[in-house]
Amino acid sequence: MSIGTFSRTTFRGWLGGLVEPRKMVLILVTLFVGAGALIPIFFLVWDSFKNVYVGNLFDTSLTNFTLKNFREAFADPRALGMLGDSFLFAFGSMVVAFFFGGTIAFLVERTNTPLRNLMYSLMFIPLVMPGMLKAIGWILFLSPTIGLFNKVWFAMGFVDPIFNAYSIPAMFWVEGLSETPMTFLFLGAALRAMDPSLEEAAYTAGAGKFTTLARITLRMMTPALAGMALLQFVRGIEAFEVPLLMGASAGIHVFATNIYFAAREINPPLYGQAFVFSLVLVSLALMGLVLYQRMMGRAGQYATVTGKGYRPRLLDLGKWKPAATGFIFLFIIFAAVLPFLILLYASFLPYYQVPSAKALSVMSWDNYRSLLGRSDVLLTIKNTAILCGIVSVGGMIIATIVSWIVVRMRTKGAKLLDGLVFIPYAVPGIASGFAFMIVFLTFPNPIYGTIWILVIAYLVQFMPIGTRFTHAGVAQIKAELEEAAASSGASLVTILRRIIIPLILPSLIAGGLYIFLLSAKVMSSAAILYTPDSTVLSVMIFQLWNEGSIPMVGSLAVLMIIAFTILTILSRRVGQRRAMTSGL
Amino acid sequence: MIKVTNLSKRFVTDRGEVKAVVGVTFDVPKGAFFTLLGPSGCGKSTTLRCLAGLEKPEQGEIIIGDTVMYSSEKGISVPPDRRDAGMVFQSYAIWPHMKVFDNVAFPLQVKSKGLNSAQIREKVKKTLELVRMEGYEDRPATQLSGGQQQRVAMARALLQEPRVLLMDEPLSNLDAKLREQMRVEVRDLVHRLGLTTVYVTHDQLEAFAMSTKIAVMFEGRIVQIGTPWEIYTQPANKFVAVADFVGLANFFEGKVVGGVGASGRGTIETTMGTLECTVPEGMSTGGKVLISARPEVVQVSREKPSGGGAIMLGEVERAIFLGEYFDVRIRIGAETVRARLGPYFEVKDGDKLYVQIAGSSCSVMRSESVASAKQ
Ligand SMILES: Nc1ncnc2c1ncn2[C@@H]1O[C@H](COP(=O)(O)OP(=O)(O)OP(=O)(O)O)[C@@H](O)[C@H]1O
Ligand SMILES: [Mg+2]
Repeated sequence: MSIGTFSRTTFRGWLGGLVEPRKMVLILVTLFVGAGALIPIFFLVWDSFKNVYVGNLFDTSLTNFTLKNFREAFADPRALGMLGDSFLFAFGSMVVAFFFGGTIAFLVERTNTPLRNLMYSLMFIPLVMPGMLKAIGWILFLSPTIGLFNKVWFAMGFVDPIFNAYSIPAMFWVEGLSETPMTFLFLGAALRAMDPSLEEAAYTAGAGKFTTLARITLRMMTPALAGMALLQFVRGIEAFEVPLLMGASAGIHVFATNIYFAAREINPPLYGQAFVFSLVLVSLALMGLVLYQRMMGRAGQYATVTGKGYRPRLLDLGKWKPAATGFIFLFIIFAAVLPFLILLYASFLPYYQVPSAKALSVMSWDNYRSLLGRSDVLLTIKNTAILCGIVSVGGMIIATIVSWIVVRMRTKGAKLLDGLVFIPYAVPGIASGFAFMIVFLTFPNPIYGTIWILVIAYLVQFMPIGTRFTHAGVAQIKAELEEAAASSGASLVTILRRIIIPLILPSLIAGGLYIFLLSAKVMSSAAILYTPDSTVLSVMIFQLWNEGSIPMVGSLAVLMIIAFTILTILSRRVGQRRAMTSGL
Repeated sequence: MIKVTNLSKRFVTDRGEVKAVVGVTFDVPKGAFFTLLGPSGCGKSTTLRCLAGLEKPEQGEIIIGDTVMYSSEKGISVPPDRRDAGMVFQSYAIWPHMKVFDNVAFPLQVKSKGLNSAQIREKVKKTLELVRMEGYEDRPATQLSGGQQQRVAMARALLQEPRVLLMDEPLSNLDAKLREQMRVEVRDLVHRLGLTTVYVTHDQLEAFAMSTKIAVMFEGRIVQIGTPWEIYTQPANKFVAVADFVGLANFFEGKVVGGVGASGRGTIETTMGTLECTVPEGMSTGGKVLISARPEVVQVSREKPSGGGAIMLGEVERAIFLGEYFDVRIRIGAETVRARLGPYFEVKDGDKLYVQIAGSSCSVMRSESVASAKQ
């Protein structure tokens, strides 16, 4: 990072300026972003070509490079199977997410489906529920032995189970449901960005509804659809929780689970293989994201928003209207209601059993009582609160400062920072968690084994997400507003506190909440970095599940979902009120 | 060719109900260039979109040719793709994923009229020649300038050989020079092709230069229909005369004091003196009227002029030099009169000048019609 970034004065002047608190803040943030983005990547690349094992994690010699790790990783016949399974799983979840997300986006934006305007609020329901809990919920329906649907099937006189939760189709079904809200929001926005008169011109040129749909609407949407498909595919390749819970026990592996087992479950750990799989995963993600950016450039060319923002002509569904509303609600039921209900049901049982009169008679609040009496649970709740609180607040502070540097200082250094902050987006949580583990094992430090290593890993992982919220906000603030404050003698901290933060508060709250929920929901890097003292809720649920205490999982899940829901509602309220009073 | 009867359309929005079009009635003869003129939000586009079938009105009847396209009474509503109305949009609506050729050929491709691809090619070529875009067939639509997009949009609408051509502010996104040029081009083209056209604009000059008939709209209603000359010289009420888009006017209140004869001329007493004007039909002695006189018909001189009409002495309150003319406000008693003086008049604030208004260059409207237009 060039020192010319922040000052064009002489070196001595710059040195003198260093002690200025304003510059200290900027430099510290830049260093954090740079280190957080580059060090894990460096380790992933470097160690992939080194002979690494416990006791020799970081070989600094400039010779000794080897392809041994690659040979070993791909010599394993299961590696090929893993590749195939990964791609099939990613493709399947993309299809499921498009089927639901695309259809619902079309119904909401382009047809007169009753209650369609509720959809934007309803989509928050599946978003609050962690993917892991969706997986557990669906296992309780689809498991060949204890699954409710199969039990009903058996009761109808069949012998072989009809569903198998531990199979690739079941896995991509759940992953696809999890990814649907994102697909819906994205495709809905793309549909709305389309100039309605493009469709109207087709009607007046003599084209009917379906010709217009096929030759204008769909074709206009092609870049957005392709971009989204690619993004979903990348996310599918990176997925961790669903394959871990549903696939691993049946021997179905994907990249993320392979890394996890090689680094954490196998003894002695196969670090070399973990590095290789991480590197391949990061490369795939990077390629996908670059292609995605290209396509979005095309989509931007097509998005010719003009006119007054009225909705285009809505397709009249006629007698299909109830079916369309039904479809939307069916999705909400699949993605949130069913998994929640079965977890809720399980949470009242002493041991798991399918619903029956006997089961109803033994239901009680005991699990909740014992849960809140367990010291490890309380410690985990405390850890999670610390993690989520610091990562969301700290993440948004870093994001604000980064955005301010990127938007205000149009120097080369600022551009570089903009690129750096985006890098973690291409590093899946499991790979970055693994890289951080090696980094902190290599250099002696007091925070390995504490919650703070998780804080750092999550802060880095969510940097690109935070800046997505703050970039636009900061760009909207005219430089004069700040200059007016600066010319009246305010320091940078004062300017941030009194001018910038109040003005972009709504996006800060929205971004903070989003990161808070992500930190609590996503298990990937935590799964690699936790120790008994630094367990968080997602990890604890996974452990309880492995121990087989489904009722405990249920009660913890229910508490978690309730807390997240309250938090979401509160933050949306605050965000909206602030947005109104500040006139933004 | 087009007959619209008692058309009404409202929108329900978050902020309540908007009556976009209220009881609009008009007739467009075959081959006419009919313009809807009015300020922003008065319902011009909505009226046009009802004609195209892009909006469904609540009430009224639309007949194009001899087909009933919409009738609330008979429960008829023909969808837009079967109305045979070519439309040119304000945003041009050129499909960015197609080449110029496919944009223009689209109407023929979707409605097979028994043409083979060579014939379609030939037609597209001819139509592009009409709009002076020959040779652009293979250009991607994203690489066209605003003026070129406008021409392609015209070509697409013309290729359809529609029964009626509908245009919604097609020139408003062009720069001033090009707009002036296209005004003449578009008018000549549709005249040559003999197309019946309904045109929407908020630009007075555009409407005057292009139209055979103008309908002035205000808050969802049509307040006057007439030729451009009629609209300018005989505004039906104060709104038509005063609104920015139909020029400026001086207004005086007056009273008919006599002499309304078969010629329709009468003597009117005003604060500015006594005038001989054509009075509205059915007006009799004693009726209250409002007189409008355009600034350019107000005669100004330093010496007292001879001859008739109202002659008053006034003082220049403010004279603004605008190059082509001086825009002068002259105070006469309690009234202020606006006039235009040639650039060589060399008027300055405080000058004492005689003002003369000839009754023949004024228009007279009933006071009541003024009140009703304001509601
Ligand atoms: N789809 C719609 N939904 C809600 N309100 C609408 C819609 N379309 C038009 N309106 C409202 O109806 C009224 C008339 O609109 P219209 O577009 O016809 O005006 P216009 O005369 O064409 O104005 P402009 O010159 O600005 O284009 C306006 O008040 C407008 O806000
Ligand atoms: Mg309009």
